[in-house]
Amino acid sequence: MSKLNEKLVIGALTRSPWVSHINAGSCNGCDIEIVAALSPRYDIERFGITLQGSPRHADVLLATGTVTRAMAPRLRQIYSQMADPKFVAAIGGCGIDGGVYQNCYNAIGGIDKVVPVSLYIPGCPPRPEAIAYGAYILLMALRNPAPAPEFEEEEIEEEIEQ
Amino acid sequence: MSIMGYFAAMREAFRNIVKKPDTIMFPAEHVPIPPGMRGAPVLVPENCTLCNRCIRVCPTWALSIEKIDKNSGYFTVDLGRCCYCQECEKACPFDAIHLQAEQWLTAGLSRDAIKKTDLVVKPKKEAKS
Amino acid sequence: MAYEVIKFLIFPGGLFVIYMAFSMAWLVRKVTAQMENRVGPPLHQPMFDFAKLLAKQRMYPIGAERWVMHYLPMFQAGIALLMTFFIPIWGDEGLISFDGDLYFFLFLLALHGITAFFVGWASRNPYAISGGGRALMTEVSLEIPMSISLAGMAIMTGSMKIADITANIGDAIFSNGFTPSISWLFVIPWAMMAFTMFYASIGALEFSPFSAGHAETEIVAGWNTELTGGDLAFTKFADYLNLFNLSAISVALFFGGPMVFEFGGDSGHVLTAIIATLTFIIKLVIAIFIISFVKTLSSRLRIDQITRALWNYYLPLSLFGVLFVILIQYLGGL
Repeated sequence: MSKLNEKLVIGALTRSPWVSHINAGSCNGCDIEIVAALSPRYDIERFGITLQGSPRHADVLLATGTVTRAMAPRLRQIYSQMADPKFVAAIGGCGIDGGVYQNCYNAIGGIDKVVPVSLYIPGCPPRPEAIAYGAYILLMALRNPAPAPEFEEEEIEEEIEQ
Repeated sequence: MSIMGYFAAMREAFRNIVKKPDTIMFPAEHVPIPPGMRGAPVLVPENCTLCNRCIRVCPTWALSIEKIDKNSGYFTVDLGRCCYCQECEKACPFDAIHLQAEQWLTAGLSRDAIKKTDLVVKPKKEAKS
Repeated sequence: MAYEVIKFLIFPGGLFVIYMAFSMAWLVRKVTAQMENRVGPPLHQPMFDFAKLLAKQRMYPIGAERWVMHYLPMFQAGIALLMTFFIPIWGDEGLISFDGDLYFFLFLLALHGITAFFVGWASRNPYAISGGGRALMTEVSLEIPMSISLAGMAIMTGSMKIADITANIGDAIFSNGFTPSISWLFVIPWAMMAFTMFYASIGALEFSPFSAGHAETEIVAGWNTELTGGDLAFTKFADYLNLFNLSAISVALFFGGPMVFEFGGDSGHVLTAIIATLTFIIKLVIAIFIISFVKTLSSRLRIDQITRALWNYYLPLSLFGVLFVILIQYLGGL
């Protein structure tokens, strides 16, 4: 019974992943590409993906840009406001490793230093198809589950406190 | 918005119901990529001589070489750091690294999935005759 | 007894209505997508959304009225399901039908608007409170033109019963033509009142141009900003059912609902019921097309523009409609 239940839930979740969007200090290039992926040309509503205004309604948080010191507590707050099951996608080179902003005095680094990230989409900015492809491999991974990404929380706490 | 503009929008909406949509059905068909597009950097291991010139010009430390011995090493391209500026391609005198237009399907579930490592073995110099 | 239970649970009520509501919600999204030149969501998308939301975690903000946020969405879904029982689907009579049920229907609709406001209030979020206020404001402004235009239909046909209005209008449009009791002059007020009713139902569904209560560009998601999981699922479900309800009641009261050209079958026959149901569905789909057409082509109005439009233009239009009806009946009686 519970196995069937789980199957049903995963089936429904992979057919309607709602996304919400946060700019953690990006140059707006990746945000424009997310909007382009929702536009008629690359309509990702075909996969049931819709852009939600509220992070409370979303399953996937599309986070762009390197995390600045001011934005890190807010990013964590928005992540904690999402309901389980929740996933984070880091979009763009800055979201993964800091990109051209790495080693800046005001930047902490990638998204995964603050919240656990389950999908990395590199690019500067990524093409809209790359975002759609990333969503596709995330959904495929959900249907055939794999171990969750590792995440050390303690170090970052200190880093934010500084 | 004028009344005539509103009528034009109505006509377009009615036409779109009958028409085939403009959407590219992504996994089945692709948008044509323009030839100047800067995709992911791809190494050609046969041409590489491990000369470190690309590493010196890379602004975001996306490339790295881990030498095994004098003539061979691992060349890593970290797509998470790359900013697709084409400096490495310009700096390489041996045409060993290219930003390929086709390489845009780059997404991974972990950091290691978006790193590409190639084994480079320097070709032995032929004795001058 | 068993027959009655089956009627309420499976065919004209219950499962059939819920399936229709989900399909109509899908149709609105699909038609909107087609008009915007894109493909749109796959079939049964609202069902997957509903199932996924039911499985998600429920969260409540600190200091919010938990039980209001938990039970009011279910109450909304319940009253929306109750409203569907008044709609004539397979004959000219709904499952529940009594004298004056037209106004009971409107009362239930007003209840939905008030619960929206209370959900926003209880979640203790500035966006939700402002969205709830806007939703209530829109609801109050559109209830009056809507109920006045429905009153015009009641005066025209001489009954306050949805079944009687449906039967009379269906007869006038499809079988008997214009009789002395419903003359051809009634076309003018009929068009005015149908126009008012369609726009008012778009407002009650919070589609553009009257979507200020859900404006995601200014207030995050309107009055359901803080709802998660099952609570959100039930408000969405109530919205889908209301989409069905309002388009179906417009169809029933203004276009004769399941009534069609006379084909000589007796009223209790199975074939008659099937043809009536098919007619109803076809008319419903046309109404959904009109609603999604308006939704696609119009941009969102500000809340003051909404109230000004509804009070300054739609209310006089519906009043003139009623005035025309009374005038025509008075002149016809002379």
